Amino acid sequence: MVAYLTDIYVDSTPGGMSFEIPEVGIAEFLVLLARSLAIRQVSLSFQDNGHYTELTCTTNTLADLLRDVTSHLTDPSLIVEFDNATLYTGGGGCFSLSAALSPEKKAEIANAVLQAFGITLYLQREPFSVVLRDGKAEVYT
Amino acid sequence: MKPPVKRAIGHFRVLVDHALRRREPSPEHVLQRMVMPLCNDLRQVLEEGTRNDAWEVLEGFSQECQRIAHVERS
Repeated sequence: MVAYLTDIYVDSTPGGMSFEIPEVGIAEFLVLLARSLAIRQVSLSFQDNGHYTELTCTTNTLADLLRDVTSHLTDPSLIVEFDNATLYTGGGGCFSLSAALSPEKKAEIANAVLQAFGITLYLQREPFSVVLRDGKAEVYT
Repeated sequence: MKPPVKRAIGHFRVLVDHALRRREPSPEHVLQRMVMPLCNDLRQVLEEGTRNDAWEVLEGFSQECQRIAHVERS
């Protein structure tokens, strides 16, 4: 993934995680998240011209599916459901993950997401917040 | 759970998560990414949903409040 050094946010929260992802990196972020969660099935639902649409695929075919629904990835009506986790969004790359994850797993996901954006960190436990803004990284643990 | 109900609870969750952040989001971000989507969800529930749907929204909001009941910030 190309490195974007502005407006990336990765945060551990009670019961999940919170993210700000650049819009052009959302598809890759979703694939990475599906792989990190080690799930088999992914469901995407969104509102399209007033109607609710739901699409289901496997982790292996997720990237192909996302290419077909690119315009909906920044839509606040999007909900992504994994086997045992749900990703909500306010649109534009602003995400909240609801999932029962261990502190180690949250750190692993955060490291992987940041690595995808060219940032190498070694977070090991929660709580943590990582902010990348204007080329500067702020890490709170 | 109906889609507007689920989305309303989800958008409330996004709002709650932002309130916990170390760096405050801009007012524009809060308005565009949380408040406006939530307003749309609530309007849809009131216009097209049932009383039970509205109750489910409140229950979902309450569960989100419980989720952060023990959060401490200095």
